Amino acid sequence: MKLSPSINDLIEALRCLPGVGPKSAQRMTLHLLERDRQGAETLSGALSQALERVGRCKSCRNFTELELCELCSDPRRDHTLLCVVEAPGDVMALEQTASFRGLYFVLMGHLSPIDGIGPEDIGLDRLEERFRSEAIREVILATNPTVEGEATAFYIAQRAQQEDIAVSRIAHGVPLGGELEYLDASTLAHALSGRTPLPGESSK
Amino acid sequence: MANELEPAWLLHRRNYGDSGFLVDILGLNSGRISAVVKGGRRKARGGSYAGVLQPFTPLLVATSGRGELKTLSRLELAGASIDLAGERVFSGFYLNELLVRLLPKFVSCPTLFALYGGTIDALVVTEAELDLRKFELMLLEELGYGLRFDTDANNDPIEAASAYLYDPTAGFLPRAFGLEGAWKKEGRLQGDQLLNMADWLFNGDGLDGSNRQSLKDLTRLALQLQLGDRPLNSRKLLKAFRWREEPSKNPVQHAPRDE
Repeated sequence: MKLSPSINDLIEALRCLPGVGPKSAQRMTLHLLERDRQGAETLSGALSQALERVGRCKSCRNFTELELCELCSDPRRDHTLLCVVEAPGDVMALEQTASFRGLYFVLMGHLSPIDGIGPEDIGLDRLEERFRSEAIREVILATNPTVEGEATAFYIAQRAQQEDIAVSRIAHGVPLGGELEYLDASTLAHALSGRTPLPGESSK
Repeated sequence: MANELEPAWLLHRRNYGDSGFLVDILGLNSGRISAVVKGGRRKARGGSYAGVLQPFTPLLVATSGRGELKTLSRLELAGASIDLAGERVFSGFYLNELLVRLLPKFVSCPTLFALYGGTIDALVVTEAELDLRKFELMLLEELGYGLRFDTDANNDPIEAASAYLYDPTAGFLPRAFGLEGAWKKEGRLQGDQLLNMADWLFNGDGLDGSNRQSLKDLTRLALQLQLGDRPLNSRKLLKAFRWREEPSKNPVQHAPRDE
């Protein structure tokens, strides 16, 4: 069946979304046109507004409409604690834990020489500048536990130590509610090597 | 060979589609292959492959498909992943980048495969400088550009007292071949250095510091011809990393071209 060009364009455009194939794109298009024109208008407004306004925070590189994002400008947060993550989604995940009160730095990727991604491409020059210009006490490296993530963490750790900043790496290990039997060997090995003494034990 | 498990190393992985990976693998029998891992990032059935498909992890893989791009049909862990600490992981990336850039696909090279594993193992405990050199030499050999340390470009034996110039396309040119004054410093070696390198490679003799450096320059020169104008990113990364530790060696200022 030949569809009108506008409909086709919309179907094609929707396919850029993750998890959306031709069939779901078609469903979405027809839904928007048939049943929810109001919603479609809101969507298109929100989309163009976000594209126009949202940029990167000059301090943490996360997405924001402001020059300095809400997190970076919040005086109640601990400005001496910096957590380095790979993606904006990681910030959201960490914020949900509500147990971190410091600031973030979003790399938007990790070091990957084969892909041609070097230190500048993930903003490490900007990060080093922050190491030098701000009173950071501790850097928490929360890059992903992949080989590239570890390499990135190592690279940043060296830089931070040169500026006499304490560096820590998030722990890797057994997920809550997980079962040891079904865990892969390397995770289990990490969990073992990164074991922590029980409270009270260490004081003996 | 299809559907039979073979030992393999992951060289490179990137996301493909919504839930898959596109991987470059060095297999014992199949050589370097590119394959799609369908649903590799999906968590649902039996856990995702993301944790297993990591560089420097011994794998067992089986691929299917007739085209150039294979499909990974089975994947198993063949051992614990090798933990390259600190800077040495960059050397590991260097090996992977060399292979992805230079090794042609579907060429079985069991010796190189074994040497790759050995070099990764060596990197766990040391800088493995000479292991890296051996690997580079073996790769050049596979590519048909191997270095002969005991004979010159005319197939005459290397003489200890003579000077030679290394030309990546021809080999070691003896002094009589050109005007010595016009020789660049790059690639210029003494016969006894070359003989020392031959002894190291074939008899396992030691190699002193200056000869190590010469050998490094030599393999670089040889690889440069293969790599063309695009420099290796992992080498750039390592340089950028080291530069901060030794500011005198700023690569940006006096070596804009990767040697």
